[in-house]
Amino acid sequence: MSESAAKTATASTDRASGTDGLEAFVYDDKIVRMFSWATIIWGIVAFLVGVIIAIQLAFPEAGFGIEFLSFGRLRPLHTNAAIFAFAGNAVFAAVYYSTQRLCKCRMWSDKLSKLHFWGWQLIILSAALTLPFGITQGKEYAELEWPIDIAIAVVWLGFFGGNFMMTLINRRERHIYVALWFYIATIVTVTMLHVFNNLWIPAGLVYLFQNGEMPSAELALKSYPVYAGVQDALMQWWYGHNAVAFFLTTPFLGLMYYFLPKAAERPVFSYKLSIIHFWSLVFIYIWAGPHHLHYTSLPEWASTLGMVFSVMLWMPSWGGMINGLLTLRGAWDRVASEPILKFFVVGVTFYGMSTFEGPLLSVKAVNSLSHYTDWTIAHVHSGVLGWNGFMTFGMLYWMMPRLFQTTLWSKKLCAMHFWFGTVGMVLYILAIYSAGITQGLMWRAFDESGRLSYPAFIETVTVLLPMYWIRVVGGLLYLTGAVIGAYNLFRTWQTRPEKYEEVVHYAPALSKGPIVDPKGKDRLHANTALGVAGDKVLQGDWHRALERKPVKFTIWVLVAVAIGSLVEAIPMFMVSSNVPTITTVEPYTPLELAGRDIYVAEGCYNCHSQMIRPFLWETMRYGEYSKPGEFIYDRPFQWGSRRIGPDLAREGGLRDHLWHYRHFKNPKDVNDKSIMPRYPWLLSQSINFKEIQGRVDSMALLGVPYGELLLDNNAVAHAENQALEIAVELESLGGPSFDETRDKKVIALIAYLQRLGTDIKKSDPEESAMGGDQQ
Amino acid sequence: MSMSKIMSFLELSVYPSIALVFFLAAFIAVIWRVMTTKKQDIDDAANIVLDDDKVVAPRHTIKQSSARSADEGVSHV
Repeated sequence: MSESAAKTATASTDRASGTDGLEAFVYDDKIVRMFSWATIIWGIVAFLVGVIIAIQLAFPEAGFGIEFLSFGRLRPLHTNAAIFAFAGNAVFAAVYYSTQRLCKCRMWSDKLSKLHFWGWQLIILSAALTLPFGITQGKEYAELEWPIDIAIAVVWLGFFGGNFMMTLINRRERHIYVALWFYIATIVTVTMLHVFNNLWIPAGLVYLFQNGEMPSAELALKSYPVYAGVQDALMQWWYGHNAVAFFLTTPFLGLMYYFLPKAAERPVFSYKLSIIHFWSLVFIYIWAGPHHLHYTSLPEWASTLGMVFSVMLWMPSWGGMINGLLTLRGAWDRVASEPILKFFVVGVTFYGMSTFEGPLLSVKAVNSLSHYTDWTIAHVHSGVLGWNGFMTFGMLYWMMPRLFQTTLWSKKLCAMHFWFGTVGMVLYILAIYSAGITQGLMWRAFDESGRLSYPAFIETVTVLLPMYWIRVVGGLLYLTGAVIGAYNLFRTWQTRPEKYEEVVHYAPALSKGPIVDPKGKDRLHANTALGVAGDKVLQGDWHRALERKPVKFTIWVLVAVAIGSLVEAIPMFMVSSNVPTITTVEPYTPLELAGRDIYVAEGCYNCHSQMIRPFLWETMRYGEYSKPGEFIYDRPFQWGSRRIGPDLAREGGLRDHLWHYRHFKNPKDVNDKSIMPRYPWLLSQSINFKEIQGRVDSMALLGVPYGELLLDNNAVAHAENQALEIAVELESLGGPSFDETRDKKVIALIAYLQRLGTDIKKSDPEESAMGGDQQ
Repeated sequence: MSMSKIMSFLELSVYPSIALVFFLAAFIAVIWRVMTTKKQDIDDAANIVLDDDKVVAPRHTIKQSSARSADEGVSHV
């Protein structure tokens, strides 16, 4: 049956009663095929970009001095492609395949399914086009700028969420299977995370409303978050952690609870355990975000709360893993001969490893060693490559031959893919675990005289290079496995029938209420009215009722995740004592603000932190530890999450302008062992001074006291004057002529770097005045 | 008095305790639910995933006689 004919048949029969009170319907498998192919294509792109940036770390010249290929711009492309394109499309393929079958009905709207598919691919394409151009919000995993944020909200909630919920409401199976609970939690929570972490003011629109024109496309796409500093950090890592939880964990658990029993041909080991697994995860996960900010300027209470809940997460996570593995009870002999089951077993095992390691890393003592090191990178890759990647491949190998109505082209290639992937992962994570622990130990090492053993940061970088090369090999193996998989599935597709058969299924419509078991009815009738109600509670009827009411179920999931969010967010945002003000901290000058935006655009936060933790080994290396009040004008915060290069929180005044200029031109000119890429375009591209007023005005709207700089384009004049001063000083130090550099981006970036961390070194004018009086 | 000042009077250390109470209450409720459910209901729910491509009437809904068997119900169009 052709698609149109199938649709017509569906339309005419889907709601109408068929013979014997049954309704006929056809599943929409075309949308699943589309999402499956998108998963494969974007997966290869994500892995390829990952290999490229892995090579750049070991061999920086692989960036060729081209701005669109620089590490800081490509790394967000890699992470976004892996999470939202590869894993995202895999989730959608799983949801569209399993939801229709678990609900015994076609998706509610074919049109919404298609809008969802094409909308999501357009969003991914927008990310692939904007991130290499440095158009970014500068917040990890939330880099995409405001127009794309709006598109994500519409596509995710409007097209995907709406279609999914309406399908649940119109289902023909009364009980909502546990996999669907995980999908509900995913849709609800990701919506909440996305919306609240992406509240911003678009700088271009501010300029447009005030001046009636748009000075540049760059400003048109630029936004500033409504949160600043510590609050922005808490919000970002509430989002960042729960993106892992509700984008990379809960939907894949739904996938596991559906596809693993299918592949093993037996029900899940314990359905009771799956219920406990679900509610424990939904309730606990949302609290754990602050563990990403241990020993930073985040208040102690929030940090401890994040740690305690992270440790609590271990048990439900392992309950889920054990439930998955024990589903294979009695079928382990098939694992040896069936590569699909191998993918699932390794995938679930990596889930167990990652969810043990996550709580471990959240313990403050461990975190003091692991944070900012490659240990975190190894942890996330064991999760994404092992858990998300292998569950996805297992699903695709099981599902796609069925979607193509044929058999898998080559089981041998499937096994080859498995082994390439497994060996690649093991090489990758072992090398990077070693790199991370080596880094952490070297940073904190003291010699016998109490001095840092490795005072030059570069020593702690060059020692890692052999491990970086092993990572490249591991990544290449994983990529090769994925290419083999894509080829195998392509050949499978080639053996499909000329026309797909559209199987018509039959099921009765859902009655308005459940039919009460007659035995139970007799007993209930024997009780009093109070007894009946009590009996229902005792039998857990309240939850079973919830399990067949999707809207109420969704509301309770929202309540569960909102509690954790509000208990952390309200005190953080409402209690002023959490961010004590420092009187000497002032807003960035217009030029420094422009320089800061270049810092964000170049993705410097991907390699440099701006957060000195209160450890002796950090304060000896970088200076005074960071205070919450230092970041009140930082939108977005730029604390970073890893140190491939040194911390920059106190960079201001450490080196002269010429050092920075030469460093951006070619880092090897000032440090021949440096692995930082060259930034020649910063020396040739001009600052758009006109748009600086728009940046300053936007910040002022967010409460930054810019005073007279808001009048008569004063911000532009101020920026030009400061740029001239820096350019003249640069020339006096032996740099190029000031006329050559005064309008270049590098000058704005130098202005910003020279400001970093200097405010707390200034003397308080009021205190100075008092001191003067006393004398 | 601003909301910020009112909130500042609150003892922040109470929040982890509140969190723990919330969690324990939810956890006990869920344990209660799974422990009080009949084995037959749990088995039925667990088997939905294996039945979903077959064409059968859902449990406890219609007379057995009107439900088609899996083989009868499937037709290729």
